[in-house]
Amino acid sequence: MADTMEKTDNTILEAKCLRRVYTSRFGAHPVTALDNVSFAVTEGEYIAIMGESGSGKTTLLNILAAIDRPTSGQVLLDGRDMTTVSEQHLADFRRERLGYVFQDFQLLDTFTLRDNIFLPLVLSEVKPETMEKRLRPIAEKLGILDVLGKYPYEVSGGQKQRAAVARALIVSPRLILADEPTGALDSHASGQLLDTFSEIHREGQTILMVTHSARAASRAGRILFIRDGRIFHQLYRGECTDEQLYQKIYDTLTLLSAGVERT
Amino acid sequence: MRRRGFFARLSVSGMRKNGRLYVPYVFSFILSVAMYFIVCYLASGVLKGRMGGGYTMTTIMEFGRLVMMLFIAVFLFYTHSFLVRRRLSEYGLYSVLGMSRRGLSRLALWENGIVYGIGLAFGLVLGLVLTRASELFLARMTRSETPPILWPDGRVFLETALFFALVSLLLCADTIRRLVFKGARELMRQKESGEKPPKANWVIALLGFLCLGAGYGLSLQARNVLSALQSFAVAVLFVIVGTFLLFYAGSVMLCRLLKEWKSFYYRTANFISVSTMSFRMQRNAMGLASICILSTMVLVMLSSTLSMNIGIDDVIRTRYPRDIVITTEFDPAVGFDREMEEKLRTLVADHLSEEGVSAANIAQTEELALTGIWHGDGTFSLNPDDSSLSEGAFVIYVRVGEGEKRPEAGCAFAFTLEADFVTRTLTFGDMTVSLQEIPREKVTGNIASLSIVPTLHLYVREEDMPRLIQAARQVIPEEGVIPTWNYMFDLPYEEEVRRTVSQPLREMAWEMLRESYSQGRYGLAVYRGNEEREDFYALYGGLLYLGIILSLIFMSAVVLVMYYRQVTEGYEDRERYAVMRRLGMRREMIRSTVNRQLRMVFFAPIVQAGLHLAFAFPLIALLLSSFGISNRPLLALISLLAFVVFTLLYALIYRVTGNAYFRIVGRDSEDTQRF
Repeated sequence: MADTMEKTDNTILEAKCLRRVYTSRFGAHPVTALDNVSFAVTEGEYIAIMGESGSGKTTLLNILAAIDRPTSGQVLLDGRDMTTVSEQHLADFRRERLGYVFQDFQLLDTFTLRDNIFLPLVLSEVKPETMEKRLRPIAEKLGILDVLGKYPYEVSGGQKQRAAVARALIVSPRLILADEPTGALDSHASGQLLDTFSEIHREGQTILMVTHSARAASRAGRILFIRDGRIFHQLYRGECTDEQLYQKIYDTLTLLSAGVERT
Repeated sequence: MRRRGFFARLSVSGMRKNGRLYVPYVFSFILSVAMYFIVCYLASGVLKGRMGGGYTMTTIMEFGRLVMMLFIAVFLFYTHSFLVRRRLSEYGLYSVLGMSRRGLSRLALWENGIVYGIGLAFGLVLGLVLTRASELFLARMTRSETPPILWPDGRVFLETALFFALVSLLLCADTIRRLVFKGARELMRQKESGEKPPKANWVIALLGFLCLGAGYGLSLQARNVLSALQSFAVAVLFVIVGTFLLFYAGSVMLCRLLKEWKSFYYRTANFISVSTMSFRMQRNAMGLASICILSTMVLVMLSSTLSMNIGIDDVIRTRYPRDIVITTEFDPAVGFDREMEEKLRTLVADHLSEEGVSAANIAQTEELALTGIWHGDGTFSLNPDDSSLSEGAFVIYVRVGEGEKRPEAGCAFAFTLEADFVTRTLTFGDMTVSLQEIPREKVTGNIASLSIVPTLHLYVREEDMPRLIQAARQVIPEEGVIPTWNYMFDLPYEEEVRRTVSQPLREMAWEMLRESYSQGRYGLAVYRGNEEREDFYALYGGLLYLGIILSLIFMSAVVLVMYYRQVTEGYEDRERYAVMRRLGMRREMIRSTVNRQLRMVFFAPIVQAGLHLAFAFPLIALLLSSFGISNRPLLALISLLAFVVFTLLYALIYRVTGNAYFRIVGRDSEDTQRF
């Protein structure tokens, strides 16, 4: 896998030989969810990680987000080994460096969209005026200015997910981690959300997205394919358009499933 | 197709799965049955004739039963609503899987039926055990023999069973209304939506203030025991309704204010607390208001019954200033018969020397008691038609004033507890007395003991007394004019000696009265202080016992409401805390947030309960004065003490139930961490 490692000076995130073994409650059959996964994320990159259900991509994302810890291996965020950071600092680290976008939005129903977006800032004890100042441009860009006062159950799925993106963006994270962000959206809302991602990427935001939608992945600059806990292929956009990249992804996936059938 | 018992098994398994919610619910049901049973039992008349004041107690319990009915219904509906909310999606699933509305209704019926069955069975057993315990305790307090095992009247069982059947039916109807008559899709979707603040919030607030004001006003306005008794129930109802409305409006207002106060709101602990609070305002308010009312009940009962028992010696001392009190009532036609008084004194002296004892602290008083009708406009008139204990009944005690209490001729010094008393003159037939007020301290004898009836104390000149008796006889029937002579003395000996010496006195004195008066009205009573004391202990001890048992019951209801709030809210908030942890919330932040949340709602009910107690004070003081407790500073001190102790206890309960909440929300975030 050494060839998938691409180290440059402005590496944000680096995964080194990640391995995660789950032991079931009764300890009978250990399951290897991740096996020797290594890759690096450069500043300004837009990476998609593709794989089928159970391929280990959510485990990978959880480890990168420091929600889960690897059995062995390292995760370096800005050169710092996340696996050795104490539980206490991890929360702060996660809050200040990472923006997380979930498939099911994970908005709190007790908060208005505005307060949901403010939540990480409140946890970091940022002043209310500063929060408001940061919110405006982001909300404007995401087109949710007029629904900020509403509660999650009062708005559409697309608006909810855009609020969740705003919540991730408001901490000015080094990296946005997105877990199937279009998973709960219809095709129209999905398209809108992907446009948003492309836009913030163009503005320099580093994004790492896990998805099994080829359409979503085709917006990325680089695609990692993961199967049975290993990275087995990657695609670069190069000079391709979204459509061409989509075709390439599609071919890879076909190859992948054909390969599965052959074995 | 369906086998028999399908719905029964389905409902049992559903309840089992939600055991953490159903167990406290069934427990509260059992407790409700038990407490209703006890109050029903006490109200059923078993107290009459078994203990001093049994008749009054039965009336009090009958009122208590009504309050209890209302309380239990509200309480059960409140806890039940938590269950229904948790089970929406389950019912939705059944509905999607093709169960008809009839089937769902049957399911609801089964569930409520099972809870009813279990609750009634265990509740009645618990109630029986507790009533039995009460019997033994009462017997001990009154130092009577251990009572035989008396089964409560069958009616008590029936009443309890019927009342709870009715409540269960209503609960079932509510379940059906909420769960069944909603489309399956809506049930499955049920993304929890917050409670919108009501549009007409100020109307609710105003109504709440009005109700509370009315209740408080009734208490402040009560001038005498009769009016206090009448307004007590109404005042309590007003205060209960007012509390609920105010807590509702108040929490809405508070949430709005706190949210607008940005530098407060956007702090980690406050942020989460305030938003969850406003998210379930209504339930929050209901819970806090019930806690407040229950706390008030505990405080009122404890402070009043404790005051009675602490003040009991005071009462006895004013009522029976000496070891032995001989009270003689003369025929009004005769008036104070000085000759007879002398004869009786000699009789007592002879008897005592015969027995070889001597009296100490001998004292005597002459007192003319007049009973008539008091008009609400503040004037007295002596209605010749009716002097019974009806509306407006009053008593005048006339004594001969000496020293500084000796008034001018044709005048009288007057004292009364009635604040409405404004009249300056009193007319008895052809005699008019002008009144001059004197302070309370100057009045000797019974001022307030057992004065359910408004009382006026007068001090007149010696020579006016016989004239007054004659004048009063013109307007008041004979039995309403009672010249009373009290002769009293201490016997500084063993109680046994007092008993043997005083016992024959009554018969001897009667003999003398009978010989002297061939006709006419006269009466005699010989009181031995210590004998009376036992009766008082029985009555007051019994009331204290009742106060304690009811306090315990209400206290456990407080605990239950708090626990229930914490646990159910814990389950609701668990996912929220999991999300927040994912967004980078530290564990110790959760702890501090939980503490903040608890502290925010901690003070409201207890402060309000203190306010209730303060405003109930005049009413309680009046009611207690009918038991002879007129020491207001003492009552105030005891109320304050009860409040302090209760607050400490309350804090402890909050702490413990708060831990239950933290265990639920905290544990889950650990799980998130692990997987």
